Amino acid sequence: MYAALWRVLPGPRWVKVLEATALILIVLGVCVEWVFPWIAATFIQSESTVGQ
Amino acid sequence: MGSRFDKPRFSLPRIEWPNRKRRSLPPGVGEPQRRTYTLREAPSRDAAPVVPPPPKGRSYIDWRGIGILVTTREFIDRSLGIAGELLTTAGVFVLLFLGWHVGFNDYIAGLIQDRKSASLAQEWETPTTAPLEFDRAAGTSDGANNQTKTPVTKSPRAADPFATIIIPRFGPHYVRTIAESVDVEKVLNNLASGVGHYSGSNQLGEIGNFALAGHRTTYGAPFGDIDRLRVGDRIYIETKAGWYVYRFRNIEFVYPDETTVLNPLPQTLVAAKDRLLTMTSCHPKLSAAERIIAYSLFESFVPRTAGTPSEITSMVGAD
Repeated sequence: MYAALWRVLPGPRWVKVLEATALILIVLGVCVEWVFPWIAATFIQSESTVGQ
Repeated sequence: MGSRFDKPRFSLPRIEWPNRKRRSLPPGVGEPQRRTYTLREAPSRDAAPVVPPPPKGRSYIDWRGIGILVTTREFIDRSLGIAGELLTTAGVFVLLFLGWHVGFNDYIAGLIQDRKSASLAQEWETPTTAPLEFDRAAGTSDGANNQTKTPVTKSPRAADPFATIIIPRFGPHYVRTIAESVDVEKVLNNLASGVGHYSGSNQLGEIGNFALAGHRTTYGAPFGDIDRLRVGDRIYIETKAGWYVYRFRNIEFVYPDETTVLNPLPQTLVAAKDRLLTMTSCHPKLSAAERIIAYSLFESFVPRTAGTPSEITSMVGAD
């Protein structure tokens, strides 16, 4: 899967490294900004109040 | 006899695509047919390419409709490889999430909450001509503890920030905003506040129980160090009117449904004329199984005109 992704990336090796780094950063950014907050709000119970 | 035209005068660069050789296909498969045909037996353009029979003991996965023609062994190998990569990715994703949830996000949220609270306090510092939002008439004199009248806050609207809590034991920059209600999304998980006031409990300054909730871990963890409080530690609650000073007294562990801790008299040790501060948070850390309750008793009210209490001058940035 990742090998195929590496083959699909255009350009010589150093360009591929830059592109891969950019892709990783984009994925991390999307996770931190949208995916992780959604998971935390939807699935993680962190109650600090007393009540029913 | 060789002529000079036998050798190519230039050569195109070799392009290998894909650059990984697939060794498991027998020679001849996928390569152009090099035999010559007579005109009669030449295969039509639409005819399926000829695939030689697989070597002994091998078989093909033949899904040429979607462009797949591999030996079964290679198909299994590559499927397992992809499955392994997917599982590894999922594992890394879970670790990243945990690191974000209890580490990164918690830390960043804490910094933001500290800063927002400090700027709120700064607003209160600047003198305005607007009338105070506090009902001084409702305040009762508190002769035993303090000569000053203790103002009582009017019930703020839900999710409105109306006070900050300053706890020197929690560190030199610990200032968090208290907002009305314990709504999870609007108050407790919110970067702008973090600490919520139980709307059903008494108002700040009122005789009875002023009850707060805050996270023990994650989302800035306003009450993360609640178990480090020592008896007698001062807890300051700042409003536009001044500072309500409480002294920490004791910790109690209860089950999550124990709402009696919010009562005006949650414990028999409390007298009916006492003003009490109750802080609730979850226990143990990263769990919702129990609640940790910290009780503090009101000591005095310091009006804003009297200046910042000396213990917290460095914390609220008033100079």
